[in-house]
Amino acid sequence: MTPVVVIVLVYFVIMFGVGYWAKSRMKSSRDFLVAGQTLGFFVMAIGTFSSIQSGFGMIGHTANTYSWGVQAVVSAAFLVPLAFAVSWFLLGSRLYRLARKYDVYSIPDVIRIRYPGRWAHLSMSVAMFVGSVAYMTAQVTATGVIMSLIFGTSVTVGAIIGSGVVALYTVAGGMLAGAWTDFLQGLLMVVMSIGTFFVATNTVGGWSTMLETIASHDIDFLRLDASQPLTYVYTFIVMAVLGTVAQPQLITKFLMLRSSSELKWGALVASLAYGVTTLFALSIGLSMRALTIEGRAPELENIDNTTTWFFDNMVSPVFAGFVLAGLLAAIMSSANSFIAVGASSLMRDLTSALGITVRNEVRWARLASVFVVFCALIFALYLSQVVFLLGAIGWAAFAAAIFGPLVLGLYWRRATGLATTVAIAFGVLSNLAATILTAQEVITLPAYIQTGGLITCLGIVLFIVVSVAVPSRESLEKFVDMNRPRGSKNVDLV
Amino acid sequence: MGVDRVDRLVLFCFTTTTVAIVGMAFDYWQLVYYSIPVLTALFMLMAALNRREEWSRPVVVGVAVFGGVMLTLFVAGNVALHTDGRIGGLPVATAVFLYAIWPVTTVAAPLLFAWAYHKWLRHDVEDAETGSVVS
Repeated sequence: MTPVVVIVLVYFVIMFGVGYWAKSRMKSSRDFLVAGQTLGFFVMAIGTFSSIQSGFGMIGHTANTYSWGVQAVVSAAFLVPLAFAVSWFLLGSRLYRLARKYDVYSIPDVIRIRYPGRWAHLSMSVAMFVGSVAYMTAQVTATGVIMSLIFGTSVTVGAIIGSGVVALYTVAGGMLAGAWTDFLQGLLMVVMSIGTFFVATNTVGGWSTMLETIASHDIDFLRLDASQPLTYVYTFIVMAVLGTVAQPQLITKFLMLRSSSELKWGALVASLAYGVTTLFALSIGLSMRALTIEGRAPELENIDNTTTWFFDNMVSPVFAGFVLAGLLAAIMSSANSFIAVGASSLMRDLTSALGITVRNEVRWARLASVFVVFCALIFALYLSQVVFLLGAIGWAAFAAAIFGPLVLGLYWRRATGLATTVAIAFGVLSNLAATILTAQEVITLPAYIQTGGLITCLGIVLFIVVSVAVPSRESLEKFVDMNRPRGSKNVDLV
Repeated sequence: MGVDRVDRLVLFCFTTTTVAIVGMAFDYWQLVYYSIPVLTALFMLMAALNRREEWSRPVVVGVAVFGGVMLTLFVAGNVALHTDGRIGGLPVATAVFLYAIWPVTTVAAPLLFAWAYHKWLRHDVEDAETGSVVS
């Protein structure tokens, strides 16, 4: 048994241990869906950053940095820590108040309280379920690749085993297990990223020597406009920042805090942790470029192999095993959040929107979790066309669908249920349409257009326009009611 | 229904986002670039309002200072974009992002939140600590 396998098996045992512990404390759907509202700021903040920092954040950004240059991490990662601060500003106290005043366990729950009628609630529930399966499908595929590297299996078998592991502890312990495993996985990612930064830069003589090697070969590689047009780069930043604020795995974490005092330092912890893990992509991407210039590494035809080539060839097996466990942690911490979000939308939100009462919510939440994983596995392994479509319903779709209705809706009395339904439909359908039309070459977009950021901004503007154009007194009344302190009498709508 | 502070802030957000969309669609990168610090400051100002739509003067000043610093760094990045100099091994504009904007936004923005929360926003959630949940 190699050191890599041992390290990863130990990691699995710890995850199962957390799942077993959480299962023994599981008494209600509140425990399953929002960790019993027991989280302190440190666990919540580390869990939040780790659920945002997915496999794509670690492996994908590394590949893009190797290929595009520094602009890849500038566009996709450098301002995400700022987004955590903006999230805490915009969502922290408002969502905490809601979670204490109402039984709020999910984003559709917030929509139900904020807007009248069934459509806004129903459409958000459907979007959450489809989006969660979409995200989970991407994580299944990534898990399969990493597991196949570790255990020497096929990608299919790796995906099944990896998904089984994450499903087991999530189904057993819900978000209580999810939050604590996210916490442990986040710590592992931070330590792994710091270690990787020093190992990777030392491989090419240190940070300064690495930059000098690249600059002497091609200084443009280090410029902000190295490969992609500046408009594309900055639009990507807009999508990264607004999208982070509007991701369900982040928003639901605010519903899990045990007291208001836990809000104060969470943003700092999450920002620093995410910032540190950005060092992973930055250091491996640039050191691999320097290694290529020095002739010590081949020019990779498939840039997705940047991370694996480096750890296969440049570090000891023990360190490689440690990093692979960290990469699995990045993937699994995102996956378990989406299993819980998907299960909640299916078992609680959709049924509630349709007027169906669910008894024994924990049992149904577990069954719904299994169903989410099952759908993701089937799509990932056997229905490549569905994966292609689901890939479009990711980050930007959530951003366009959630930012206006939820983030602005918490502050703005004129926000309406109709605008919510329109923004959700636009977010999902426009991303699907852009993906299909460009892939089929029906339309060819200029290189400077970053569709995710553009659609995110269009979704926000559309939400504001519809809210103003078609005002709703019922939505206004819901806003006033939502913000009324407990026990106070009705006040006039100004 | 009169126009209140949130209405004005939403109008500013709408205008800034629309300007950014024009930049994204027609390749004017400056319009997208400067929308980032402007939107950040607007969202922070909106979030600094309590439930009664009141601001705390020190918190507003704090957000304005942070927004000003961020905008200054963005201007510095823009001015340095096509210069030949290098700082810390990187072209100046890249160095501004890597050595200034990244650490400042990673550390100062959450510290600003912690201060604003302690100073002002926590009073908004204190009444939520007691009482029962409404279904």
